[in-house]
Amino acid sequence: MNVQDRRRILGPIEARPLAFPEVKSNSKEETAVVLSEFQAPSIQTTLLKNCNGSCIIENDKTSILSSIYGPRSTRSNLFEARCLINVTIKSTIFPTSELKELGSFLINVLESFVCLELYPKAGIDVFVNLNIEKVCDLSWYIPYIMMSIVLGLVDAGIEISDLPGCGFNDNNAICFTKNGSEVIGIWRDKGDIENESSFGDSLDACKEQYLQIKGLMANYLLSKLDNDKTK
Amino acid sequence: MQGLPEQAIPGQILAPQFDLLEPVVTNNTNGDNDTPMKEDPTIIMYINGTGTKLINYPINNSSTNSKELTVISSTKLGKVYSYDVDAPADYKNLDQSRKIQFKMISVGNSELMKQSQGRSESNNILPREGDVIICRVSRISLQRANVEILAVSTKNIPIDSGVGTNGTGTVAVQGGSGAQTFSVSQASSDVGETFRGIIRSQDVRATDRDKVVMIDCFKPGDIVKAQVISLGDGNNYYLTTARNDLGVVFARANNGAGGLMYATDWLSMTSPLSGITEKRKCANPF
Amino acid sequence: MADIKESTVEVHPVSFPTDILARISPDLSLQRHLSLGFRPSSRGFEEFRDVIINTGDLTHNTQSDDSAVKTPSNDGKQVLGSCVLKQGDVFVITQITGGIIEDITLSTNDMEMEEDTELLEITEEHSDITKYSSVYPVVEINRGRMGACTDEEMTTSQRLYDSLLHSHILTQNALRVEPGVRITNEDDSVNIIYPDSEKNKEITSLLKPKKKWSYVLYAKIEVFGRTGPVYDMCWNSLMAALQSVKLPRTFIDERATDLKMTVRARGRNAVVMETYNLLCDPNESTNLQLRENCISYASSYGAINLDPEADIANLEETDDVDAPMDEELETKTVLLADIDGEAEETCIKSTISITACPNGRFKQFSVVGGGAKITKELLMRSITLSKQRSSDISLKVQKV
Repeated sequence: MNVQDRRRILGPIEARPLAFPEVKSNSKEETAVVLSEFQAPSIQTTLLKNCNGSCIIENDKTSILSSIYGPRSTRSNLFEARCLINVTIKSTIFPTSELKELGSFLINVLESFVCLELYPKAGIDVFVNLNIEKVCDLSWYIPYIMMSIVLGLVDAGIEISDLPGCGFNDNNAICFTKNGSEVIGIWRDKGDIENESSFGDSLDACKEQYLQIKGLMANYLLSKLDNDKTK
Repeated sequence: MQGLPEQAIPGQILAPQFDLLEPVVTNNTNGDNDTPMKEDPTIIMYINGTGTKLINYPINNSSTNSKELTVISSTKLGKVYSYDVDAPADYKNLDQSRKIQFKMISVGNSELMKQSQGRSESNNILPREGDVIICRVSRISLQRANVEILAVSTKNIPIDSGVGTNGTGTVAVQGGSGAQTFSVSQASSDVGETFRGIIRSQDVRATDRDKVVMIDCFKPGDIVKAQVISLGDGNNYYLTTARNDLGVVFARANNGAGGLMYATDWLSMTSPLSGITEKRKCANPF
Repeated sequence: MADIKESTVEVHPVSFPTDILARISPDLSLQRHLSLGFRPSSRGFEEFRDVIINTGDLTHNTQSDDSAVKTPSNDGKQVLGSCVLKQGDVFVITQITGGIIEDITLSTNDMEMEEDTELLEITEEHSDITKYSSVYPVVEINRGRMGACTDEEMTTSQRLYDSLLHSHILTQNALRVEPGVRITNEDDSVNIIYPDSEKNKEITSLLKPKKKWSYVLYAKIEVFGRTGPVYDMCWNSLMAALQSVKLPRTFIDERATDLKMTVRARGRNAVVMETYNLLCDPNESTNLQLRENCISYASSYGAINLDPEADIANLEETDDVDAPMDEELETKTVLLADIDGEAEETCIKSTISITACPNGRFKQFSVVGGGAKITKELLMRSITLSKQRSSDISLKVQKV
């Protein structure tokens, strides 16, 4: 930032961040570390009281909080028969440009399953806070982010036509809906796709993971309904 | 026919659009399978209510023989309700010999659902045509009153639009107002972020529509009960108060400085403390 | 559905659901609740929200084994201390990060420094505060909005900074950097010597640069699910987080200790520059020294006039303006602790904010009068409550 922020007390400009000596020894090996398998995370919804829906997805190193605001008024001067969706992702680890790109990717994915036509003239704002330790590339987190957003939307009472999900395999994060019969988005951080068959394998692996995630979400939602009933 | 599930999650298929209701026939006593039914089966047409959606569902996934069936699928988390309803207006009965029963299926999770028989349940403040809303007058001109919509009377209040969220309180204790920033959905800044509406002078009352003087009907700050005529343009909903039960419900005298006033007739309100009488288009308080 | 609009003339059967009434007429809704003896949140008048405090959870463990410690991934902002505070439905997450600044005022040699302290003594009355330090807080309140920071965020940050400075909890000395020296031995092994023992002190003082450094502490405070005023929670969370701060020890490589460079800029000026790279030791850290008796916690109160007419449903509302002050029996003022919720936030204009130590010392006290009269009894009551609250929170912080 070349303009100094005068609205907040940011401390002296000359101050330098704490620098730790680089550990050169086994850094090469660490990057080659096997990507962690999908771990069933803990889920909690209706966490925040100032948004319509919220959901936090946590496992030992990751904590992803989604908050859903809206449907609320837009400032657009045109009559919009369908609702507008915004996704904003906040994280200190990944560069903003990458987060923005992921945000617009997720908007496209969301538009494919949220019942937009029910909310004319309105906008739905999705905020995602990533509080994570960097384990992998951004794509590895997408299944968790998707899960958090979908459950947040359900919590907000926004009508969605299905419980979609996302799987991760071999740098591909693939989003599915309708029991895996439809792909609604593919995100790839890096690397070339070697050939069709390897991509096909990866697709199948992602699909399997999606079904697993869908099962988790469905179980969570049903148990939540049961809890409400007993109350 | 299978029974409906008790509760549903989004994406769950609830029922086909058309279903057969087998008449309760004592088939078993005959022991003869080919016995024709004594009664014709009733066809049930399910209509998608709130929280459900009609989708095409492939029943046979093989590529050679794929068929699609129209089914009702849930779009919400909640209990499943079904109600007998009349035939929808656009429905044409082609075959008079068939008995058709209409049932509306809806999914939801609140008391409002039961009250409205599954017709309206929504956590959002999205006014639709015909809804009665509560709004606050923000601006008056000769031709119209601008209002901001606070609540839709048949719906739950969304939790994300109070002072807590946007901190518009005059005393956020030890902190200022948070109203300066605006939601992402809003491209430019203005005060407030509620849905806005307009009551045009010809929509204030049903009689003497040309002689309406706006300032004698509403004052800024008044809480008004109104009905949505149309979704309007990009900015505003169009509202009307041309009904006995619609109009000002809460108002303070002296442009908000005085006490709360009460309607004495449909054109005036009085503050019992100071005795001030002001002109308003009041809602029938009874 | 209990709230029914009433009038002197006749009963109005127009009714609003409770939540809609609360939205369109929060003052009426609040008064109705208070007349029943509880608040809209169903708390008692002097009941605080429950607080859960977790410190150090998000702190990057600086004591972990070598391989786990890498260069800081958070853009060089290593988390030194943290706190997750949950009060009612509100989450406040505080992360404390650090930086190092070259201390210009003290960068001269020891003699001059002594003179400085003498000078300081002379002007002690005025510059008492220069002995103390603060952290640089940035408060972010998540409310589903983008764009510039809001007034509330700015004022809360500024208040936190000022209050912390004037609470005398952090001394300049506590933030002084005592750098060690990294020495590469003949057999290429590397070890770091800190000026802890006498022997080491000698070595380091030989190699030690003339310059002085200080740590700078930053606090990033994020508020999730705001339902009411946030200052108390931010302060308490910051206090708890500060107690968990571990400052990493720093060192200078011996090769860099006496580096002098003569820079000739286009043949005109010869400038002697000394540059040091202070590095942090990933394995060694010390606890931040806070002045224990200055640890304080904040609480807030509001005063509101009970509307006698809201109680008796047959009467209409009276305004404060219209109620004469001599009719003491008519208006009763009550103290509400820990203001929260939309109705309380909009309707209560008289507020008291107290920052107190558990031992009864006060660090900050502010009263804003508006609407309701704050009487001596109310003030005394709020002081008693704030002490209780403070010791209550301090127990919760210590438990962790």
